[in-house]
Amino acid sequence: MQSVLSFNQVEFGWLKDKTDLKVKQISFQESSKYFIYGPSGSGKSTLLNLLTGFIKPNKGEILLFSKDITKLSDRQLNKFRATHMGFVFQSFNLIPYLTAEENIKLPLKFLKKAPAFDLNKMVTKLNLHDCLKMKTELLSHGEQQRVALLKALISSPEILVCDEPTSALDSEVESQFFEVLFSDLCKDMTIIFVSHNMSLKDKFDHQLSIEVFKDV
Amino acid sequence: MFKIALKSLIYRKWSLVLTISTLLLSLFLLILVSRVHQSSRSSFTKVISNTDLIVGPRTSAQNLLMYSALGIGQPTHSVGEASFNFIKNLPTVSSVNPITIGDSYKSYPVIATTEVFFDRPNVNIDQGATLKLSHMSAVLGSEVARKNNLQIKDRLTIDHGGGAHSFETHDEHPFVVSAIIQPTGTPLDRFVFIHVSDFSLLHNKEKPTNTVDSTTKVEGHHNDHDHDHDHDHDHDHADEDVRYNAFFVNLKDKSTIFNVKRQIDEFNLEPLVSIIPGQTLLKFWDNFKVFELAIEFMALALIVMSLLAVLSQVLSNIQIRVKELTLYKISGASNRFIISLVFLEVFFISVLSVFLSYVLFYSLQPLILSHFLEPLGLYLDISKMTSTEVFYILLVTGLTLLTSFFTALFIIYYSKKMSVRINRGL
Repeated sequence: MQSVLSFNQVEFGWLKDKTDLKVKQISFQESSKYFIYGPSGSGKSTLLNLLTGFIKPNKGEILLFSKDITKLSDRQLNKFRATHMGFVFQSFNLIPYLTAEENIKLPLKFLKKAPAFDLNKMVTKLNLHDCLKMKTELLSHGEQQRVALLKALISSPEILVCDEPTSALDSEVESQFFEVLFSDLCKDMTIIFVSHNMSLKDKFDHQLSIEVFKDV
Repeated sequence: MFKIALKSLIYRKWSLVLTISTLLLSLFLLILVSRVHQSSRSSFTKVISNTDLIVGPRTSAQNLLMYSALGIGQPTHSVGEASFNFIKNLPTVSSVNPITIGDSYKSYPVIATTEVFFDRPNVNIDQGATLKLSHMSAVLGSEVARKNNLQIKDRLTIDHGGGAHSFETHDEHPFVVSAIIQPTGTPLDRFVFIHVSDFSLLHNKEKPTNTVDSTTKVEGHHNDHDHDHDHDHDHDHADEDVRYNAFFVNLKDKSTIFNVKRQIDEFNLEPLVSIIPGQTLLKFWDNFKVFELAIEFMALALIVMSLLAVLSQVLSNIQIRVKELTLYKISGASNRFIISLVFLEVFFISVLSVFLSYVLFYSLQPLILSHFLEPLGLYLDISKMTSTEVFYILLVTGLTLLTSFFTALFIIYYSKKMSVRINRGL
C-alpha cells in the first residue's frame, strides 16, 4: 500500500525554546483507517494541525502525496489541502446562514468538482431530507454533524480527518455516523480519527496512542 | 458570491440596520447642507444677476441687499422722489427700478415696483396676458399662487406690515391677480408685485378707483382693523408723496460703476447708500462660512463615525467572522474570494445607504422646505445633484470600500491562527 501522508524527523513546540512533539517517522497508508487516542491536552490536536498544515513544524518534513507541505505557501497549501482532505470537527463548523444543502455543496463550488455521491440518496439515508433547505443554525447537533460529514465527503478527498466528531452525539446518531464512515463511500479513503473515547478504537484498522508521536 | 454576501448580511440584520442608519443619516445631512448651500447661492445670484447697483436709504449693505432683492427682513427707512429723480438723471444710468416694501400677503412679501422689474432674463409669464402692473392689479410669484390656490382674476387683500400674523389688512383696497410668473427657483417666487403708486394709495388711505368684478374669488380672511390701530410696522405711511425703500439701477457703461456709486453715496438731500450686489452677496455668504464649516465638520464627523460603524459591522464579533471566513478557506475558498466577499458586503452597505439617504431626502424635502427653509428665505433645488454631494458620496463609498479591503486583509492574516483553533475544536 502506498503512503499518503508521512512525518519525517518532525519537531514542533508551541513556545520557541520548547519541543512539545517530536516524531521520527510515521506513515499513513492509502485506504487505511487510523484511530489516534490520548487524553485531553495530550497533543492530539497539535498533531492534527501539523498533518493538515495549519501549523508548520520547527524542523522536519511532512509529506502529503510526496509533496512537502511545510514548503508550500499559504495559498498553495490552502488549495492542496482542500483538494486532498476532508474535515469533520467536534463543533461541526458549518456556515450558520447557509442552508444544509449550500454547506454540503460549498467545497464543490470552490474546487469545481462534481459530487462524489448522489446527494439525494445520501440525504435520505441519513434522514436529512427535511432539513436540506434549512439554515444549519436551526438544525440539531446530530443533524449538523451529519451535514458536516456529507460536506467533508462530497468532494471525494483521499484523506478524511475527524477530530472527536462523535463526542457530542447520542448513540443512535453516532451509529449512523459510523455507518457512513465505513460504507463503500469511504472505502478508498484514508481516515484519521482522533478521539479520547477508547470504546471506538476497534472500529479502525490501526490504533495509535498519541504517546507514540511524542518522542520528546 | 452575491447570494452568499446577501445571506451573510441578512444574518447580521440588526447590526446592519444600525450601521446603515448611521451612514444614511450622515449622507442625508451632507446632501441637505450641500443642496441648500448650492440652491440658495444660485437662486440669490440669479435675482441680482442683471442689476449693476442697488441703492437705498442709509442702512447696512447686507440689510439693503437682503430686504430689497432677497425678501428677507424689512427696511428701516425710506427715501422720496428727490432721490429717485437724482439717480434717474445721472448721465450713465440707463434704468432705475424703484421698489417699496413693507406689506405682505399671508407672510409673503409684497413688492411695490414698476414693470421694469420684470425686465430680466429669468422672468417669464405663466398665466395672464402680460406682466404689466396696472392699477390695483397684482402679479404673483409662482409659489404664492400655488400655495394659496390663486388664479387670474382672483381677488386678494394684502396685510399691513410684514410677518405671519398681521392684525391689519388693506381690505378696503382689494387687488386682482393679473399675471402669475413661471417658477424661477429664486426669491421672486415668493413675492407679490403691485405698482408703487398703488402702494402709496394704500397708505394714503385713498379709496380704490377701480371696481373689482363681483364674480371673482376673494382671497384672504382677515379681521377688518382700523388703520389707526397701533400696529408695529416699518414702512412710512400716510405720507403724501411716494416713498421708496430701494432702487435697482442699471448702467449704460459698466465701467462707470464706481463713479456712479460715489455720486450716489455723496448725495446730500437724503442719506443714500449704494451697493454692488454681487460683491455684497459674497460678503453675505462669508457670514455663513463658519456656520457652513461647522455643519460640514459635523457631517464629516458623522461619516467617520459611520465608517467605524461599518467596520464594527464587518468585524462584529471578530472571532465569529474570522472563523466563518476560515471555514470558507478550509472548504477551498481563495484569499481573493474572502476579500471579494467582505468587499461586496461593504459595497452593499454603501449602496443601500446612499440609496436610502436619497429616499429620505426626497421624502422629507417638502417638510424641510416648508417648515425650515422657506421661512428663512432659503431654497432647495431637488432637480440635480451638486458637485459637493457627489464628492461626499464618492468619498463615503471609497472610504468604506478601502476599509473593507484592509478588514479583509486582517481577516486573512488572522484566519491562519483561527485555522488552528477551529481544528482544535473551537
